[in-house]
Formats: sequence, structure tokens, C-alpha cells
Amino acid sequence: MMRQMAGRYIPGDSVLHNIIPSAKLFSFILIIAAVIFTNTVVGYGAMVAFTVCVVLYSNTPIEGLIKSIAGMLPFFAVIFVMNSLFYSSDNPIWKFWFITLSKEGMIQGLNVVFRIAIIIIISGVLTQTTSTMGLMSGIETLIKPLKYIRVPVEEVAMILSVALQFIPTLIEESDKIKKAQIARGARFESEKLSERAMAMLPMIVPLFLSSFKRADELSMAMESRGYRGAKGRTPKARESLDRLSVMSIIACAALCALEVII
Amino acid sequence: MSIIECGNVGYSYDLGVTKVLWDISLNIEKGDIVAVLGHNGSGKSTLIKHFNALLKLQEGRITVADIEINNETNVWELRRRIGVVFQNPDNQFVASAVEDDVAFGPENYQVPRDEIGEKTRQALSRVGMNGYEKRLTHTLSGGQKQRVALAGVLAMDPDILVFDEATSMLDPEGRRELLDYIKELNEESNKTIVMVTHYVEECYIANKVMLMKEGRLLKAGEPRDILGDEELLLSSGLRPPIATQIYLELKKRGIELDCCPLTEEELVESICRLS
Repeated sequence: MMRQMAGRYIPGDSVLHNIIPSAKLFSFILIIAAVIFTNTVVGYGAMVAFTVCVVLYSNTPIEGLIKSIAGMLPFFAVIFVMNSLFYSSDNPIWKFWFITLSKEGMIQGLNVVFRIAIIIIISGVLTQTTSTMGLMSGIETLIKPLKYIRVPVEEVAMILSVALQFIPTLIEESDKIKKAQIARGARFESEKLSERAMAMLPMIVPLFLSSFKRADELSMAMESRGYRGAKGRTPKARESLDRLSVMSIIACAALCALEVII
Repeated sequence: MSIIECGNVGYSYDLGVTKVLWDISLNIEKGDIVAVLGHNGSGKSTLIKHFNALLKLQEGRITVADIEINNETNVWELRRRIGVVFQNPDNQFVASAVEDDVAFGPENYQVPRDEIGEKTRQALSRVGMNGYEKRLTHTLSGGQKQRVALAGVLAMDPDILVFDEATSMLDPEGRRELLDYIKELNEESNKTIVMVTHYVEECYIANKVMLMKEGRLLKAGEPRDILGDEELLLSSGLRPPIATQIYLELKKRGIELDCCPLTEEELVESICRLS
């Protein structure tokens, strides 16, 4: 599953690779805000120009991005059709029962499709230029302020780290269980959706059981190594905010402000 | 001087209905390599889980590195003196990157950040894994994983190292490597080693073997005395290592070798001495 996922991390040394993860994540949030605020033609132009810049600065292979957008085409089509047919408008082009085809609806549909496409491209670039571990440390930094509303930030960070470490192990295990069940006659390749869903059950139950066993062993290993809660530990090294990262945040904040104003 | 002392230890997982440990008394000296040998379910893992207070002491008394284990024991201090490597390498990593995982122990003991890097590097080079700092743990082989787990324990610089069937999921080569590093740590850094195992072949690195059966300590002594006693081993569901079996067979046919071999190399040597 994980292996075929689009937007997998590609190590590199582009401008975007070098922005520290927390700053990159924060910039990403600003861009999403900007996308949501976009509603004029000039705004769209600015957004497209910005996205092109981001893609160029990230050295990501363009084919990969096009492929991920192409894969979404049926989804886009559905969104567009739904919006154009069900948007309640005062001057419909064509009306039948509860279906109203209108110009405003079509524009709205294009709007939504455009926003989703931009977000897909930007998030693809984000995950291709940031390692999973980088993303985790970025999330860790960004949720730090939540400490003041009594969120156990260190514990959450520990849970994220452990969960991340177990992903490859669990994928391997589910693969093994799947093969074992196939050897005993389970049918994962069945055409019928209901049969395929039923076949998942004998896979999920053993996976659950073994995960509990693993969790038990892990907690024992952690205690043996002196763990007594995430509080009493050496604090993580701070990553300093360099110029590049500050610039990226400023650029995204400026874009966001621009989209709000116009 | 005894570094681990147990007196009349008993334990039951279900409030005394079925006991898994019966009246175990033993002494482990500083600098020993002790193999706790036993069939599956003989209670050997249960016993060593008492040493670092993973299980609560129900009966008897235990002293580890001069720390008496009871309800008031500071288990956190205790666990700094005694490190445990567990069976499944995949279930003891807390971080994806090798260096982050090795740093987990020192971080728990609030070692300052600028010393952790050095400690991590030292621990990794101690087990021959230098240069692997940035690697992801799931890309390593089983033997390498266990060596990283060992480095994670070494980074805390404990006096006692416990291996809870740490070799049982490794291939022969990985097992041999890990055993070599265990022996080296004992010889060069004078670490006391306790290894729990059901592989009789592994006992050759030990200088003391404790044989367990059904929750009781059957016999403790020199490896040659215990592995050479075929009846004793068979009665506890084990067989002598292949070299020792050959020695015993030769003995039955009237060919007496000068010493009881535990490994193939020793066997070959003593056969060569024969002529």
C-alpha cells in the first residue's frame, strides 16, 4: 500500500528540500488558507503562478504530478457535474424537477475542482520533498503551543514516533497473513465486493492480535530502557529557523494576504 | 562478589493457582557469563524479568547490583544498571532511525543533548555498527537489528547485560556474530552477562550454566558438567550439542577423548590429539 503511494519522499537537495520541516508545514497551512480565499480571476492567476514556482523550485518530476492529477479526473468530473446540476440559481439554463443546470453552478464546479487540484499538487510536492521523519518532527514543533491547553505534546510526539516505526513491520505482517490465508483458500481476488470484504476479516483479526502482542513487548522494552513517561527526558534538539525557511513563510503569508484582499 | 542474588524466589501469574517459579536460589558473580538454559515454558524468561523489576516479586528476595528489589526500589535507577535485549528485534525499536533509537535510553536518563551523540556513536561502534547512524531500522538484517538493540542498551552503560532469547529469531550467521560481540563485551568491558536460551549450542561462551525445568532450577554448574550429562539434559527436554553427542557416542564405544567438547572445533582438536 505504502509503496505505491503517490508523493513518496524523493531525497534531493532542492530549495524546497532545504526548508526546515516545521516551516514547510506552516507554509503549507498558509497556502491552503490562500487557496480557500481565492475567488477572483487575478487571484487564480497568482495561485497558478505560485504553484508553478513551487513545482519548479522543488525539482519534482512533472510526470508524477500530472499522473496524480490524471488519476483524480473521474473524481473532478463528478464534482463538476454535481455542482453544475445542483447549484440553486435564479436564472437556470435548463430545469427539470430538482435538477437545475446553471452558469453559476458550472463556475462553482470549476472553482472547487481548481482548488482541489492545487492542494493535491502542493501536498504532493510537500511529501516528495520531506521525509516522513521530517514531517513528524515538523508536526511535533507545530503542536508545541498546545502544551498551554494541557495537551500532552511530548506523549503525542512519542506515539507518533513509535507508530511511524511500526508501519513497515505491520505492512510486512499483513502481507504474510494475506499469503497464509490465500494458502488456506481465502479469496482476495474475487470480483464481488461483498466477498472481498468478507475475505478481509480473517486478515484483520490476526493482525489486531499480533499488534497487541507487539505493543506489549514494546512497552516492556521501553520500560527496561528507563522510560517513565515522556516528561522526564532530554529535550529534543531545537532546529533553528534559517533565512530560507523564514522567507518561505513570508512568501506564503504574502500570498495568503493577497488572496484575502482581492 | 555476587552481582545478582536470588533467594527462594517463587512466582505465579494467576494468584497462586499455577506456579511458574518454585523456590529458586542462585548467585551470579560479577564478570560471569551465565546461560540460563531450559525448554520452552521452563520459567527462564519469567525469572529474568524479576531482575529488572518488570515483574513484581511475590516470594523470596532478590538483590541486583547491591539494590534490594522490593516495593520501595527505585526501578528507574535499577534499570540503568541492568540492560535487557529481548527476543524480537522488531518489537523493541522506538524510532525509525538507528541513531534516534540508540539515543532513547540516554534520553530517558536526561543525559545532556550534546553528550548523547557521542554516546550513541560509541555504543554503535562497540557492536560494529558504526556508519549505520542514519539508516532506518527496518532496512537492516535480523542480526544487525539485534546489534542495534544491544547498542541501545550499551548506551546507558549498564553493569549487567541480559539477553532474553535474543538469538532465537536470527539466522546462524547473525547468531554467531551476536554471540561473538557478547563474549567480547564480557572480556573487554567486564560486563556481567545473563543469557536466556534454549539452544544448548550457545552455552559454549558461558562459564556457568543454569538448567531450568518446570519452574525449578534443576542444576547449576560448569557448561561441560551439564552439557556432558546426557540423561540430565534429556530429562529436561533438551539434547547435548552435536559435538558433545559425538564425544558421548565415542565414549560408549570405548574411545575416550581427553576433554568433553562443546563445539565442533573443540571436538576436532581433541580427536586430533588422540593420535
